[in-house]
Amino acid sequence: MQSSTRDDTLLQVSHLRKFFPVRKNLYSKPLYVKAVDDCSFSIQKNTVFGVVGESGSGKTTLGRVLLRLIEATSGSIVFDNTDILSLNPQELRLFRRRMQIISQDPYNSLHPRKVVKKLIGEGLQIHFQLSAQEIDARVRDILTLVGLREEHMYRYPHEFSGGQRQRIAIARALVLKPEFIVLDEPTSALDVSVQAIILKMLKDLKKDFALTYMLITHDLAVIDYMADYVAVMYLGQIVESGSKEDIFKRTAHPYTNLLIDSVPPPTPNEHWSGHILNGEIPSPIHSPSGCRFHPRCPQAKEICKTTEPELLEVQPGHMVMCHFPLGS
Amino acid sequence: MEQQRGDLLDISGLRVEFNTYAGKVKALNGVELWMNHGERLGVVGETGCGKSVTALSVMRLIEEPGEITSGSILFESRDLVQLSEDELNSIRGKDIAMIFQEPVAALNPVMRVGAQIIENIECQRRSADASQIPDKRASSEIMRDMLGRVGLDWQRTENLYPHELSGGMAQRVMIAMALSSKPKLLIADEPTSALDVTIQAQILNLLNKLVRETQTAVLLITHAMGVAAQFCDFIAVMYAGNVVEYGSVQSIFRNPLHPYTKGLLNAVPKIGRTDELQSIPGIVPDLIDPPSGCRFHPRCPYRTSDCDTLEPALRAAKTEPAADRHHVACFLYQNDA
Amino acid sequence: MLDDIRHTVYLWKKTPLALIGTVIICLFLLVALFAPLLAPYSPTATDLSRKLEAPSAAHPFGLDQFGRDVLSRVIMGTRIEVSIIVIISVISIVIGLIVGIVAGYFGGIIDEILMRITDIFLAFPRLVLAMAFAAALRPTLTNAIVAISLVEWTVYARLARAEAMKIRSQPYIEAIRAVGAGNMKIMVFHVLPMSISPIIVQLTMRMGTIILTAASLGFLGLGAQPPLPEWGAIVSDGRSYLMNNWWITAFPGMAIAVTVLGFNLLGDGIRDILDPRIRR
Repeated sequence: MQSSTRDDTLLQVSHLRKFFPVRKNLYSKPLYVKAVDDCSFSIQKNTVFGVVGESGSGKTTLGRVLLRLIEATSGSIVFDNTDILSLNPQELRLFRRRMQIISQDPYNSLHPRKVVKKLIGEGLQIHFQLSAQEIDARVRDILTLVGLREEHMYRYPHEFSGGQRQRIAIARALVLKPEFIVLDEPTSALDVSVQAIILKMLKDLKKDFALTYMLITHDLAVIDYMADYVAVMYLGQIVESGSKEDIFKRTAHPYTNLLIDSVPPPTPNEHWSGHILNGEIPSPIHSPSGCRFHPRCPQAKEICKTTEPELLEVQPGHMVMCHFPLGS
Repeated sequence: MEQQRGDLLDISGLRVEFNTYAGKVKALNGVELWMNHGERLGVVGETGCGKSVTALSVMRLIEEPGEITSGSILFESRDLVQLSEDELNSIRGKDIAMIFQEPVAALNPVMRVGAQIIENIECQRRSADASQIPDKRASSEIMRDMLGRVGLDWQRTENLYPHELSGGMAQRVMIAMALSSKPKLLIADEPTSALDVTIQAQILNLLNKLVRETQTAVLLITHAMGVAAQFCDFIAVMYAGNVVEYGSVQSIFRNPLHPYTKGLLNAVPKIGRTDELQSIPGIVPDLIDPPSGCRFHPRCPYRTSDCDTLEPALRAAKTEPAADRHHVACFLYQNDA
Repeated sequence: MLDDIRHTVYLWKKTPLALIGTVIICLFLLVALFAPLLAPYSPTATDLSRKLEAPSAAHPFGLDQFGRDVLSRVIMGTRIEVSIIVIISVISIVIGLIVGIVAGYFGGIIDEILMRITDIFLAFPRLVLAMAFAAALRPTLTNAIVAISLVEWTVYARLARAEAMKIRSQPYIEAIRAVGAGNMKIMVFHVLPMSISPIIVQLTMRMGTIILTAASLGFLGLGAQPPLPEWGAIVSDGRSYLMNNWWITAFPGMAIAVTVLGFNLLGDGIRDILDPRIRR
C-alpha cells in the first residue's frame, strides 16, 4: 500500500509534514507543534481509508492539509497524478470541486444567515455555468437524495436538527460531484440512532456515486463499520497502517492494541480486559525522544528511548513503526 | 404510598417543566427510577430524553425557568423535593456528590487545584462540626492523600491551575473532591464523554476501584452504550422524559423489550459486528407539544390503537429471574390476559 | 426569523430606555424631514430692528442678535445635524469595514500593517486634528466632517477586525473555502454579513458622540460657519449674550442635549436587548 502507484490509486501522500510554530515571546526560539510529521500513505479508489487517533494525533490536521485548507510545511500530495501542493490558486479551485470535506460540528458548518438553497447552490455557482433554474433543480434533487424535502430549501440552518444539518452538509459536498470526501468525525456530535442513519447513508452514497472517503474518527467501532483500510496515528505519526483485518485481527503496534482494548464494548457479557494505557498523552510540542510512544508502552526497551523505529512491513500492505511489533 | 423500591433512591412520578419564551417544555413526564445502596445504575438515552435533568433534579439543582411540578425523590426515605435549601445543603457534597462532563469548567479557574480541594475538605469539616477550626496542615495532608488515591502526583499537581490540567487530570481532581466525603451516592453526568478513549478507560477503572472502597452507589448518566454496559449493574433507558425500560444490565442488553430500546441497541456500532446497523425512523419529539399517549408511538413499528391515547406505566415484565428487576413501559407487555 | 423579530419587538416594548430613546430619535428625524414646513420663519432672515427679543408667543425661542428667529434656526439646524451624522457614519463605516475585515480575515503581516495605520489615526485627538485642518485649510463644515471621519473609522475597523477574526475560524467559512470560493467572495458575502450587527449597534451608541463633536467644532468656530444654523454654531453665537439673552444659547443647547440623550438611551436599550441573559 505504501510504495506502489497502482492504476486505482486516487491519492498518494509522501512525507507530509505540517508544523505549527509556537512562540513564547518575541525573543525565544520558536518551538513547533509537529501536528503531522512525515506521513506517507496511499488511498485507492472507491475505498474508505480510516484514520484513527486521540487528541494530539494530528488526524484532524491531516484531513485539512490534504485539502489545502491548511498549507503543508513540506511533502507531496498527488491526487490523480497531479501534485496539488504545487498548484496556483486558479488551478486549485478546479481541484476543490473534486475533493470535499464534511466536518464534525453540524451546528457551525453551515452559514447561519443563509438558506439551504444558497448553501448548497453556492458551490454550483462557483464551478458550473448553470442557469438559476438548473441550479434550483440540482439542489432539489440532491436534497431528495439525502432524505430532505423541497420545502427545506427555504429554511435556515437553525431550524434543523443536528442530523438534518449533517445531511445538508453532505448534500453541499455531493452536489459538486466530487471524487474524494474527507469525513472528519462526521457523526461524533450526533445521537446513536441518528449516527446509524448518517453512516448508512454515507455507505450507500459511496456505492452509488463511486466515491472515495477518508474517514477521520476516534471511534474504533465506526472504523470497523465503515473502513477498508486503517491508519493509526499517534503524535503526528502513522504508527500502524493496513487493511481493517490487519489492524483488528493482526494488531502489530502496542498502541493500537491498547487503544482497541480501551474501548468498552456495548455488550455486558464480554469480559472487558480494559488493559488500560497509563499516563497522559504527551504534548505535541515536546514529544518524547526515540519512539514517541515509549513512555507509555508496556514493552518499551532501551532502544525505544533513543532510536525512532523504522517503518516495517510485517505483512503485505501492513506497516508498523515499532522496534518490537506484536506477534512477530 | 407504595413500598419503597430502592433503599437508597426512589424517584416516583417526577415531572419537570421549563417555562421558556417558546412555551412550556415538559422535560420530565413522570420519571420512575430506583436503586439500592452500593449499586450502579446507568441512565442511558439520547439528546433531550431528560437524563441530565433527572440527575440535576436529584441534587435539586434545577433553576429558573425550570421547576419540579410534581413527584417525589426519596433518598433513604427523605423526600428531597420537600426539603428546604438548608437541609439540602447538608446533603449535597456529603451524602450525594456529583461530577460533570467538563471537569475543567467545573473548577474555579483562579484558584490552584490544591487550594480548591482544601477548601472542599474544610467546608465539610466545618459543617460536620461547626466549632472546629480547620487545621491547615491536616487539611493539606488529606488533600495530598486524595490526589495520590486518584493517581496524581501531588507535588506536580497541587500548585497547578485548572486550565493547566488535561481533561483526564481534571476529572481525577473532581472525583477526588466528590469522593472525599465518602458519599452514599455519586451522580456522574457524562463523566468521560469529553475524554479520549484511553483516558476514559483509565477514569472508569479509577472510578470502579474507588467506589468499591467507599461503598458508594453510582448514578451514571451516559449516551455511550459501551460505558453503561461495562460499568453498571442496572440500566434505565429514557426517552422523551420517561423511563421506558429498567432492568439489570444483562437483561436489558440480552433481552430488550421496549421497541425504543431494541432500536437503540441495534443502532450501536461495535467492533466485530457483522450485521448492518438499524436505525429508528422519525425524529425525537418536540417536548413543548409532545405526542399524546406514549411519546414514542409516532416512531414505533408496533403501535396499537391504545398507544396514542394512554400513557403506559413502567411495570414489571414477566421475565425471569426477578433479580433482573426488568420493567418496561409499553402496552405490548401489559395485556393482562 | 419572524419569530426572532417578534421576540425583539417584545423585548423592546419591555425596555423603557429603548422606548424613550426611540421616541426622541423619531421626533428628531421627523423634524429634520419636515423642517422647511415646520420652521415658521426663514432661519437667515434678519431684522435688526427686533434684535434680541425675548421668547414670546410669536417667537417661542426668541430672536438672536441679528433678529433671526431662533426656533426656525434650531429646526433647520436639525437637517444639518442629520446630514453630519449620515455623512460621517457612511464614510467611517465604509473605511472601517474594509480595513477591519481585510485585517481580521488575512491576519499576519497584512493585519499588522493595517492595525498600525489604524493606531496612527486613532492617536489623533479629534478636536486637535480639526483645528489643524482649520489652520491649514479654511474652517468649513466639510472639513470638520472630514476631520471627524478620519478618526471615527478606526473604531469600526477594530470592531470589524475582531468580528472577522472570530468568523474566519468558524467551520462554515472553512466549508465554503473547501467548496472553492475565493477570498474576496468569502469576505464580502460571508464574513461581512455576520460582522455588521455589532457595528450597527456601536454606531447607534456613538451617534451622540458624533453630534457633540460636531457641535463642539461648530462652537469653536472650526466647523460650520455663519450663517449655517448648526446647533453648535448657534450656541457659540449666543455666548456673549448669555447673561441677558440666554435663549440664543439655551435652546440649541437643549436640542443638542436632548438629541444626544436620545441616542444614548437608544444605544443602551439596544445593548440591553441584545444581552443574551435578558433575551431569555
